[in-house]
Amino acid sequence: MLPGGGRVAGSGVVEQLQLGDHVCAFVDGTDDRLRVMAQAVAAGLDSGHMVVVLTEASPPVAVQAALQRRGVSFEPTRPGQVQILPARPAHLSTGRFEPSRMLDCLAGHVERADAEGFPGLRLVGDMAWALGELVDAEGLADYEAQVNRLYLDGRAMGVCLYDRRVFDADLLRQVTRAHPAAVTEAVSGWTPLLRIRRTTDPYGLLLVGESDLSNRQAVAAALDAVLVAQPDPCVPIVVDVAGLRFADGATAALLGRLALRGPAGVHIVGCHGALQTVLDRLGVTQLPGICITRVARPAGGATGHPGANGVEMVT
Amino acid sequence: MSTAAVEEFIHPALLYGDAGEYLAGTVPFIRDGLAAGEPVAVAVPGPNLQLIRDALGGDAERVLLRDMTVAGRNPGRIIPAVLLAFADAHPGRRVRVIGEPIWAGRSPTEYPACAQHEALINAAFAGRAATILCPYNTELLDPVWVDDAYRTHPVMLNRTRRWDSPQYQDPVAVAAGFNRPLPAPPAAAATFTVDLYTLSVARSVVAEHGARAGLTTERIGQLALAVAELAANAVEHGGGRGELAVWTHEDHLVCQLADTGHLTDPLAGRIPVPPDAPNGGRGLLLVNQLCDLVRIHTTSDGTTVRIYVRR
Repeated sequence: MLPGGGRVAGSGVVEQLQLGDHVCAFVDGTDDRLRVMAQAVAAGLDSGHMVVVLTEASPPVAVQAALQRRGVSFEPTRPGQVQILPARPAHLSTGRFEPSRMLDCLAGHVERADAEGFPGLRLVGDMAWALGELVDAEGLADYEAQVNRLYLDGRAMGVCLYDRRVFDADLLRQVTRAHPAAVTEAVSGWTPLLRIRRTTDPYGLLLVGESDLSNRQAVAAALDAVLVAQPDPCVPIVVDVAGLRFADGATAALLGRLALRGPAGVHIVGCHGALQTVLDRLGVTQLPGICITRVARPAGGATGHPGANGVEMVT
Repeated sequence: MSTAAVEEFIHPALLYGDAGEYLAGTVPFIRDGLAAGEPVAVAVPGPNLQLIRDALGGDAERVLLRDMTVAGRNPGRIIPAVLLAFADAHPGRRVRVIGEPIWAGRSPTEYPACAQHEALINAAFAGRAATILCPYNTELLDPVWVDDAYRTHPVMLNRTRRWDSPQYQDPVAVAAGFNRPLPAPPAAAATFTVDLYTLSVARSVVAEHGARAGLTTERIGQLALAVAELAANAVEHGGGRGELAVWTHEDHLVCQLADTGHLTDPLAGRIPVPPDAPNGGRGLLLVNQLCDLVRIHTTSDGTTVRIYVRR
C-alpha cells in the first residue's frame, strides 16, 4: 500500500481493478494524477503485469521521479515491465485525431505484453492529450467506447485519467458514459459499477454489476463488438446477466436490438431482478430471437458470481 | 378494411346512478360489439366487473375482463398498458372497451391524474378505430368530477339518451388545466441531489427507504427502477441533475424528482414504444407501469415528478 490516500482515486481503488476493467478516473491536478499513476504502477508490479503509462501533462522523466518519490521500485523484476511514454505521439502522431490508428496503437501494446509473456497489461493514460481543438467531446466519447473492445477479453485493463480542473463538465459526463465504471470520489469499498467480459464458450458477454445511464455507451459498444466478432452466426450470442444487479429500460432496449441484429438471436442467461422487470414491461421478451433463462435470486442480490468461463468475479 | 381513411374514435361517458343503469348502459354495448365481431375489453373496478361478468353469462369468456383498480391503479398507465395494449393486440380491427378509471375511492391526490388521463385518451386515440365507454357514477362521485367528464368526453350517455357534450374541449388544453403545482414535500422528507455520478447511490437511498417503509423486495426493486428512470431523465434532459426527495404519506412511500427540464409532450409515458425501437422514450412509460400513482407538474422553469408506491 502506498502512502498518502488520494482525494479521488484513493488508496484501494486502483488495487480493486482486474484485467478487463476500463475505468474513467477523475483527478484534481498534477499531484493527484501522479499519485494515481504511482498506485497503478505499483499494483501492476505486484500482479506481474506489464504497465504502460501514457503521460501528457507531465513529461515521462517527471512521472518517473514522482514514482520514485512515492517509493515505487524502479527495478522491475523483468525488463520492459514498466514503460512511461508520452501520450501525444501515441494518440496524435499524425497531428490529427484518428481513432482507428489509436486503437491499433493500444492493441499493439496488448499484443506485445502477450508476446513477452506477461499475464496481462495495465494501461494508464493521462487524457490531457485530448484537450484542445483536435478532439471534440462526442468524438472522444465514441473513441473511448471503441476502446472497450481492447479490454473485453480480459487481457488488459485501462485507467483513463481526466483532470477535472482542465476538462469541462459536459465532456466529462459524455466520456463517463463510454466507460463501464468511473471513479469520481474516494470511497472505501469502491468497486467498478460494471464489469463487461467477452466469453468464448459459449460465445457472448458476461455483465457483472449495474448498467445505467452512466455506462450506457460502453454497454452499447460492447454489444456491438460482440456481434461484429461473432465466430458462428448460427449460434445465439449468450449474455450472462446472473451478476447484473441493476439494468434500466435502455439496457433492455439494447439487448432487444442485439437479439434482432444477431442472425441467431440472443440467449440471456440468469435473468432476474431489474433486468427481468424491464424486459417484461417493455415487451422485449416478446421479440423474435430472444431466449431468456431466468433464475430466482435470494433477496439482497449477489455478492459474487462465477463467470461463464469459470472466472470468479467478486464484485 | 381501408387503411387510407381516418378511422373514427368514439369516446362517450356513461352517467349511471345504480347497478340497473350500469348494466343497461354496458351490457348491450358489449353484446353489440361481440355481434359486430369486434374485440371487446372491460376494465372497471372489481364489484362492477362482477356485475358485468354475471350479466354476460357464457359470453363473459369472449371478453377480456380486467379489474381497473389493479390494471389501472395508476391512471398514467391506463392508456399504454390497458387501452393501447388491447388495441395494438388487434391490429386492423375496430376495438370496443369499457374503461372506468374514476371510482368513489379515488383520492384527491389521484384525481388530477385521472382527469388528465380521461382527456388524453382523445389525443392518444385520435384517428384510431376504437370505441371507449367510460362509466361515471353520478350518485357516488364528487359532482365536480362528473362535470369534468363533460369536458373530457365528446359524447354523453345516460339511461335514456345520447348527446354531444357542449363542454367538450381540446384534450391537451384540458389536461394542461390539471398540470398544477404539487404541495411541497414534508420537512421531514429525506433529500438527495442526484447526477450522472450518483445514480447508483440514489437507487440505494431509495431502496433503504423502501425497506424501512416495509415494502416487499420486489416492490423495492420496482421503486428503485422507477427512480433510476426519473433520475436518468433529469440527468439527460433536466439540466444534468435532479433533486430527489423521499417520504412516507399514509400508506404510500413517495419519491419525487425535481429538475430544470420541461416535459413538453403531453403524451409522454403514455404511448408504448416498440421493443425494437432505438433508445429513448421508455423512462416515463416504465415509471407509469411500476408505480401506483404518478403526478407531474411541468413548466418551462422545471419539472417535478412525484411517484407513489403503496406499502
